[in-house]
Amino acid sequence: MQIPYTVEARPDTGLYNAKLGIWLFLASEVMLFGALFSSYILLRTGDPGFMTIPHDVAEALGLHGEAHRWSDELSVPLAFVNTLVLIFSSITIVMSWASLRLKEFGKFRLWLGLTILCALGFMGIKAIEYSTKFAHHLYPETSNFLGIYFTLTGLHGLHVVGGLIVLVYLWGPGSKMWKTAPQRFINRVETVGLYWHFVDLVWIFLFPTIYLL
Amino acid sequence: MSLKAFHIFFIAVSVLMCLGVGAWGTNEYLAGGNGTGLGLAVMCLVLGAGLIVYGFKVYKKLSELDEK
Repeated sequence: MQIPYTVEARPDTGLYNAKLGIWLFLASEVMLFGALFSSYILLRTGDPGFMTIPHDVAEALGLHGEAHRWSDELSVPLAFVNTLVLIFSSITIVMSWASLRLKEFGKFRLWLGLTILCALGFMGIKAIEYSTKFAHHLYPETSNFLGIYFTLTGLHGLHVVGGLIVLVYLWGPGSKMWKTAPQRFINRVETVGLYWHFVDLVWIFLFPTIYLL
Repeated sequence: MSLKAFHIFFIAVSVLMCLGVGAWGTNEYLAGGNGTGLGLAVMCLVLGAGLIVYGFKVYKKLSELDEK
């Protein structure tokens, strides 16, 4: 039996199966991250001392003088570099999809390879950031702010790793489909591109709300 | 929504983020002479301008690809 609409769009929805599936999945992701962002806003607005480092903890961290904020302990330059990396990766994944549509398989692998490198770079920088926090004995249980910080950035990092696994598969063994079913392969790359853009979009909201405000 | 439309939307949100971070950095510098804030503001405004130019170019290119 042939499954319909794996390649061509269904007339009533205008979407092929995988695209409908990824948008339903992304809708559930919006609710997941939306709930966490809402928790952060409610905790922060409900507790006047949410952002303030207690005096004894500040002393232990070597911070003296006036009151310090938890967000001051986060590395804005590293987070900004990660923002640049993810914006660039969204460009490279679109270029890989466009290359396939132009039937330029070599360019597709080049652009997708760059996207994979960006994902690895992002996780590498995130690992540096986390190790610095752990070296200063800053853990999720240290404060509500750090709990939210590790939950949101950790969940986002898991999404990057998930995307990375699929990107590597499409770059390597999964790319054999290009010879047997090219349009389905183009659709797969588009679907992964939509997911990747969502992950990037989450970071675009995470960066200013957690690191700057 | 296609990848093309979502990409343009993402670039538009990124430009807004750049403007917001640029304003934040400028404010930080004016309030307390924070050099990091000023550096971040300059980089974000340059990035935002670059993304606007890129957004228009990529929209044109991908529209041409749709017509093929």
